[in-house]
Amino acid sequence: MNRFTLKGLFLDALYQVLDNLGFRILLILFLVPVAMSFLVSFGEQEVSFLWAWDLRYVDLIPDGFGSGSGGAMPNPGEYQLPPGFRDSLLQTIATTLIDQVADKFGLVFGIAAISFYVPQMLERGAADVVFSKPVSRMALFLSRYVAGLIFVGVLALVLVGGTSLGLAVSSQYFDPGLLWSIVTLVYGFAIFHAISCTIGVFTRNSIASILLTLVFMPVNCGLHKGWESIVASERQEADYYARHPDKTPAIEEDSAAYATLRTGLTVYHVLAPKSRDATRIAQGWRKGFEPIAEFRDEDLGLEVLEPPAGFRREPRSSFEGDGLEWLAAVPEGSGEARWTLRSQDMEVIGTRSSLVKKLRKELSVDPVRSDISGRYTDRFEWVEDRGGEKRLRRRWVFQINSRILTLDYDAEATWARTPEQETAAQKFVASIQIEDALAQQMSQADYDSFFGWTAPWQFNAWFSVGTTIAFIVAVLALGIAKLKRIDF
Amino acid sequence: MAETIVSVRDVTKVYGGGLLRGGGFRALDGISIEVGRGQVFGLLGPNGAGKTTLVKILLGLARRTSGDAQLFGRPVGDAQARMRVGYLPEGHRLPQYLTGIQMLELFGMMCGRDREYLRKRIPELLEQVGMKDAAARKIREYSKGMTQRIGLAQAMIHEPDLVILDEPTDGVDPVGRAAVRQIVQNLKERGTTVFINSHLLQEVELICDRVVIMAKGKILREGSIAELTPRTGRYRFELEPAPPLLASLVGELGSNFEALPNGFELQLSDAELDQCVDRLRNARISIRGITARRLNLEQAFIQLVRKEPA
Repeated sequence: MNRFTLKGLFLDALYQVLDNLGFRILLILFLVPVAMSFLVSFGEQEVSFLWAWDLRYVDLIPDGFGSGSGGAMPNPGEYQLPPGFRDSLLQTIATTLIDQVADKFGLVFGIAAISFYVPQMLERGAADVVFSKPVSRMALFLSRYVAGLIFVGVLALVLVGGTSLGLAVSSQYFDPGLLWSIVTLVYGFAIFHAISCTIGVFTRNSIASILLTLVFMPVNCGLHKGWESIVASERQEADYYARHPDKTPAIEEDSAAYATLRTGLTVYHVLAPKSRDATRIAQGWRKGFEPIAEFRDEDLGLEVLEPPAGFRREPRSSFEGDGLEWLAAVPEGSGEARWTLRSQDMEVIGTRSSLVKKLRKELSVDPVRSDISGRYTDRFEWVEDRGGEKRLRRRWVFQINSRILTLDYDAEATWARTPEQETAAQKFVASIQIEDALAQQMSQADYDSFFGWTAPWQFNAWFSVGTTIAFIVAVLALGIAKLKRIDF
Repeated sequence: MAETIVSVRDVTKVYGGGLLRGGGFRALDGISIEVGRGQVFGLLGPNGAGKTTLVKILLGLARRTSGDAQLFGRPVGDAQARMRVGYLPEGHRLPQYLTGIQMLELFGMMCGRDREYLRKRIPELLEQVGMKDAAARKIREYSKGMTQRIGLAQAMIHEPDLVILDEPTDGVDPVGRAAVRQIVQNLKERGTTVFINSHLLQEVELICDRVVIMAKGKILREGSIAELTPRTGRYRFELEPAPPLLASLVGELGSNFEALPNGFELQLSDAELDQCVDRLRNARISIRGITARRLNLEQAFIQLVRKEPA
């Protein structure tokens, strides 16, 4: 096979793609967001349509997005969105386009649009012409496979590349990690296209090829999820007993059915293509998705999603020092209300229970059992007389790792007990999130949190890519072997 | 014989055989043929005779069960050998997503030809098959005749040494058929071997040098057109002048006398033929021509195939 033959095969694949109706439909659909990315400019505080029609984000979200109160914004005209809002918005748009539209809808539509390539090549009359040429059957089969990859590659390039360029030009936003999605979209498609081509050789029927491939997609995904769930639940169980050695049960053998299921799913996980990992890899390469948090502490995995309604953070306050402070001007009394969130080392302040005991003694108040983001918390509430003014005081005490955290509320009692302020206070406390607790609630997040290029082999990205490519090669080899044995 | 282009020895093809599927269907049963350079070779036979199977084995599209088959001295299926073959299959389906020109260009490249060569070759070939005006249209827009013509062009795009045509005039109008005959003639003149598989016996009779007649996977007869179309024993005499009372002069020599405007036809043995000539000459009648009447290929074919036990 000389270079002209190779060039001929490539051109054949290209012409086949360009003539494909499905390709043209997807291309037009994908050009819409690309055009939008050029025509709409996203600024820090406003969005501009066609470089002329400006709208502030806050005007687009009349509910007062980001105000934290859930009600009307105190002064929308002056409200400034927090820094990073625009990047987060663009990240969300790009992620939705790539992970939802392209990766899910595009994948299914793409498979449906090109699954007929191989069966059509093998139809009586067509096969006689093509396979009588001095080109090996393997080369012809692979040319059809490559045609599918060109199909998706061009569309991914248009969607991801075009949108990235549009955002860079009109909004001065560029995330090089987004461009990796072109590779991962083709990679994800390569798995199912290999299956579709090989089924096409065995059945020589376009409908069977499409349907069986579309059935394989959710089945494959489901079996991997099953394995991930088993691994996650076993890990959670092990963690629990490590924390509660007194509750560790006597060693029990797993039931035969469970052991068989576990082995089966593990073998499947090792051998089968890990298509969902393509999205995980792509997400890893993109700019980190940063939810707009009022405050975040990476070490403790603690986030305060929004400030207390009507309060502003004192810029000089420190989480590790005297505590983060949020202040609000109050019409009644001394004219000030305060929230304080403070982290202290257990070595310095003592254990949580000793602190609770101490507070109980000092305040002569019994704590109420409460929780913050699923953590066991003691809540004290008392009224303090300060210069003739009644102040409502509340204090939450909870622990993350070796840190003791306290959240204090100090406000004029009458004002603080109005229904509006009570609701705002509850909302603020609920906005404090601890990552570890979230992760334990969602077993699904377990695999995601472990997955990476340096993770243990079951969660390792290299292992995932390697075994998936091996699967693709094996499936294609099977198709080629069958094709070589067909008598036309 | 000139250089052997196609060599088939004792080739057998059984479809669907095996332990589970039983004995299977014997499509070819010990076929042997040889085709030399520059020959126009016809393969004839009723439906199911095994003609297409034989062609497919030659092209590596189907595997033989036993026997040996070679093209240009190389095993069939060999890419080097296939590089020198052009094929127009029966009921072919060309890639519908291409235009005529694109298809010729791509198939030319698949046969190892560069674009420079194809830029010159494609227009002359389109002219030859009468497809110059429609070549820029998609193949899916072609009529059956146009598809057949462009199919013929793709079989010749790389100037192969062997062209295999399976029902080349299928769906082609009479003018187109004459064009196909001319193309085959041109190929022969430039030394190309042509292997024709056709039901149209008159076409085959007009253009083939040698013919094989097959039925039920076996070769019934092989030879030149003359060899396959035996004499009927009937002779046509062209006379100058054609005198009256010819029947009384020669009619008693043979049988089935038939008077013609410029002579007569008569069934004669070899000895009777000599006597007939003597009588005409003695009567001072000039003999302008004597033609031994033969069966045409169609008659010979039908006679042969009917003899085959069902």
